[in-house]
Amino acid sequence: MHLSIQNLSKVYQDGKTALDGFNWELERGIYGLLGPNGAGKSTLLEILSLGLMPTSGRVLWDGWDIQKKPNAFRRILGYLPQSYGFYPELKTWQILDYMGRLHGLHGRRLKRRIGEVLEVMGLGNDVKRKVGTFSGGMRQRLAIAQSLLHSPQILVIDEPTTGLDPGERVAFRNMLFDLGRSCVVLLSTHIVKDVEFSCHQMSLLYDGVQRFTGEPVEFMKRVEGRVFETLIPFEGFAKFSKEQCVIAIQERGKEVTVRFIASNGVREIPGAQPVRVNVEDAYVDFIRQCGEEELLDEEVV
Amino acid sequence: MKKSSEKVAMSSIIPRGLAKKVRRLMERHLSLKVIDWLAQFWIQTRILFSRTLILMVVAMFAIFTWATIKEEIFKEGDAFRYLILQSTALAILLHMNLWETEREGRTFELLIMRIPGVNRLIWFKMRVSLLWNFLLLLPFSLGFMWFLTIPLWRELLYLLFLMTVAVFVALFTCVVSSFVKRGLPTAIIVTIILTMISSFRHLPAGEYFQIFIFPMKESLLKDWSHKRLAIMLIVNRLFLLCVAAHLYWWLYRRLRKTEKWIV
Repeated sequence: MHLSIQNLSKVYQDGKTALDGFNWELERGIYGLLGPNGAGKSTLLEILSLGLMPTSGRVLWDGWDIQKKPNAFRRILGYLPQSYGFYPELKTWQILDYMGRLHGLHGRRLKRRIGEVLEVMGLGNDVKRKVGTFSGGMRQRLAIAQSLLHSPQILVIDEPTTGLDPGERVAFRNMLFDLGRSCVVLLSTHIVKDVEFSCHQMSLLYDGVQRFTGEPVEFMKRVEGRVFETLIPFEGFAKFSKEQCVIAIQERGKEVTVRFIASNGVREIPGAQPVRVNVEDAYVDFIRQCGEEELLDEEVV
Repeated sequence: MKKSSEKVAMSSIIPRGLAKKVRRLMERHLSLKVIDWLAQFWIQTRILFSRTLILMVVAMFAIFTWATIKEEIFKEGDAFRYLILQSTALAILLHMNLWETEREGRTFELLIMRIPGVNRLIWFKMRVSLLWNFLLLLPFSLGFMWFLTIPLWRELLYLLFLMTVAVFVALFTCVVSSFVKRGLPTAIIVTIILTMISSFRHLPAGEYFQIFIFPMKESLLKDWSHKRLAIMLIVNRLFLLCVAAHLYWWLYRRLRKTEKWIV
């Protein structure tokens, strides 16, 4: 079970480079893809799900090129796009039966798989319920269920937790953990916490360029010792936010508690307490740095 | 949650155990391929026939029944005219929302993962709607055949002509709906354009290009030789086939363009 993304690039017809020389080696487990809007995440996922042809580079699954054997790859791929829907008038089992048959499953095997995926997704009691009556979380679980019907070896999921409530998000992450033990799960998301809590490796895209690939812990090192919390008077906040990269603010009467990232090289700030860093801190710092680099580039030009 | 599922079960018009029994019986006696096809046909039918569409089809049948009784049809030509109107109306009704349902329901992406290629997707969607077009044509067709004692070979010829028109109108409706994206405006636009197209018969040698032609037109049978009539009908249907092929190509391109994930 090995997915190898080699020097993948995509240039659209209008000349825009959406992806520039992306490389990644994935094996069994959960992998997170992070990046702001327009970074190239969806383009990468669309290439992996055979919806788009890359301009250059290739993707190998266990050594064979997925573009050369698209139908074979489709058989082992489970894909959940960012935007999808179900026929609201159909019942849960009807949707799964329909999708399963389209995947070439029949008879007892199909029945067994429908039962299994419903059980895994916790939808066992809603088999006869119309999909139109489902909550956002239930629809999401059904979407995952349909993508798991044919027992895929690789699961590509685009922004799955958007719109879910915190409880549903945690349940979803736990479910991902189980899936990651048996297949390659590639998760693209805006929600940094999902990557921090569920992925053992992550890749960061910015403007189509791969800026970081590695473990979340490694990514957090970029801000280690630079994240602080301090209490400042409310009036002084405007000035403070101009000088420091503020991540979180909490009002406390006439004062505010501010969590911020100090500039590079600064290890001590009077009155401020260093706190434990998380992936979100590192991500914010990273995005800020990218923005500064862009500004610098523009000035040079 | 329990309440709503009970409500759904109660609202079903099929007795509870019957569907299960039929399913088991089918699984025992039919091949997997046939069961797959039937299951997909059933689900596609459920998706195709929304409540609004069922009401519209029922209303159309009521209007046609009333008009047939009122007009007291005795001639084959008149009967064919009714059937061609019905075939056209059915093709418009069944196809005006065919792609919109998938687009609006955002189910395209899940389908394309399993049905690679636009050609297969068009075939997958349109085979069911066209089959229903044919099935819904049968009651009136067979009724006229019975009451007007139309010979079987002529009835089959009429059905062939009716279905070629249905395919043309269906493709045309699909192309228009890919631009308009709403069912009712699509139906209105298609009706207006088809009315204009039907006036082709007034052009010189219009019989060759008349899409809604009655193949056994009395004036033609009287004045034309059998050979000339046969050539005209073949050329006429070939012309229709070319137009339909062009419309198919147009629809193919529209679907590819509209949904960028279809490569």
